[in-house]
Amino acid sequence: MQNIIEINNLTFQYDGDSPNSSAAVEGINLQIEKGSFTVILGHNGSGKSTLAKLLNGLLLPTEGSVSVDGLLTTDEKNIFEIRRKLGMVFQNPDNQIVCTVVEEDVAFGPENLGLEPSEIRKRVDSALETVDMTEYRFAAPDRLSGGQKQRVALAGILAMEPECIVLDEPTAMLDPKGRKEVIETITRLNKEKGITVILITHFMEEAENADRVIVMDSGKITADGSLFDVFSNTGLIVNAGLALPQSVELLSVLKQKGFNVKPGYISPKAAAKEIYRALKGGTL
Amino acid sequence: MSEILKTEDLVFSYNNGSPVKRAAINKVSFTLKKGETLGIIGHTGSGKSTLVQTLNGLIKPESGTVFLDGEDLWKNPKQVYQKRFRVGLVFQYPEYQLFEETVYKDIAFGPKNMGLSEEEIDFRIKKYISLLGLNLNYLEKSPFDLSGGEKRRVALAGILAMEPEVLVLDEPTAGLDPVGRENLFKAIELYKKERSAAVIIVSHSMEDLARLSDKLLVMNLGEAKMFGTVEEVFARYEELSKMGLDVPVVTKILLELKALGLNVNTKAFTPAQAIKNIELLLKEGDINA
Repeated sequence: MQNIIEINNLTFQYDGDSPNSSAAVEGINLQIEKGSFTVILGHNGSGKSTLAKLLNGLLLPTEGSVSVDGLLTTDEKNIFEIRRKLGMVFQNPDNQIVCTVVEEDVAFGPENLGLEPSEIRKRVDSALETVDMTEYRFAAPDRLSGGQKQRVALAGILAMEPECIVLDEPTAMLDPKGRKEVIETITRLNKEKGITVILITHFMEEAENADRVIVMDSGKITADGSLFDVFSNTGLIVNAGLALPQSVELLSVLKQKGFNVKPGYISPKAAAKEIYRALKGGTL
Repeated sequence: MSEILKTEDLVFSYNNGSPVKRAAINKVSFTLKKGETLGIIGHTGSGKSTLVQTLNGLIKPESGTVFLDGEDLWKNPKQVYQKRFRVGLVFQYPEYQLFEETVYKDIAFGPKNMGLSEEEIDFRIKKYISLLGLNLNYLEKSPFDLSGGEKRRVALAGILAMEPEVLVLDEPTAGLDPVGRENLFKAIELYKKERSAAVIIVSHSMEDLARLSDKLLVMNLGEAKMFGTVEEVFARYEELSKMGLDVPVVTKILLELKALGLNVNTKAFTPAQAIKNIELLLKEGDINA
């Protein structure tokens, strides 16, 4: 498979940092495959948001390089094309909405691409349809719930027809219902439209649909693998300042007590099946 | 222990007297003792935030009564202001309410309004900033130079410095990472223990509430649908799920095991309790239902 993102030996240090303070991102090498769903986990200050901003050239590397679909972020004439290919959604929906009507807000991006009005119309309608917000196309964004606002922000990105979407803690300010709406929408975009998704979060449960899980700590990648493998290494998760999902916590204590279970299951159903298998298997 | 807070049939509507009147809370009653923690569960729009604002008199109920330490909060409307110091309310994202030049001045704001002496204020500021795990050299910093998690702790210190008997927190950990969340809960527990304070926490996390609460109040469409111990409330998972609310993940796992045909006791709401029930299943030998 082809890679959409290539990161080579990337280091980034904020301007104000003194020369001997540690870098926000340090020596990262990473390739992201086209069409994949990657979750990046890390506590506040682990460098995950800095990494996100380095992906579309909002920040430029202090050392090393980042390229999106073969375009280097350090070359200024690439920036416009990179930001079209790679859309970003941030934590606070209120900071991302600029217009007073939902569909105008979604049209903002494609208008800046200088597209024909008929093409813009087509893209706005289709983007709102995709995030299931067509019903609200004439609504004022400030009357929407947090989850709905995030879906509008997502539609604004979709209307640019990106190849990759990076979401930086998109559900941190949402209630459980809003969180579910957003995660379901993202998963659908990945599975049905083949859009590459990079989801940055500290809600471990949101990693459930990911092909690949990356853990960041102190600006470095400390784990990279399948959901199951990463979550089986419970010590590493805890050391990275993350909380185990309750299902994983339960399984890992059972394992310590001598039960023949593997801890890497997140959903209650999968965890229950694993416990059932161990109990029935007579291998205790 | 004695009852510190009690509500009786609280009713409040927004746009009262207009055709678009909408009841936000309807006949809500509960009691809270000193040293107890009450968790409030409910969807966005269920009336939780309106309810907590009636508890310190920010909202005057249309009907019904809030009793603080046995006395009607609105008995003498001019004294509600004084009583507000006794019920500390921490809103969602309290860090947006910081406004002073320094952390010191920001924390001092509440105690100053109480009319405490300079010495007492100074003592309390230092005490509560430390309780929240921040170094004393933070006091001279501008609150706007701090990280999100630090700002939240300063905002909470400002409330604790008034030493309220009832501490009410609306979604205190929203947006915090797991370490920040643990630290905040630890500070709340410390405060509660030291002052024998009562605590009310509004949260969407059933796992956190199962761990922290003595009692739970379930709000739905403005009404108090359930009020009881954690065990009593979570045992009614079918009703909760009809309201679109969850039970803790470990409880769900036990329910799944039961559905798979195991004779497991599903009354467990923390990982430790769940493990006990699974081990018990083995000891009893006959694991099938």
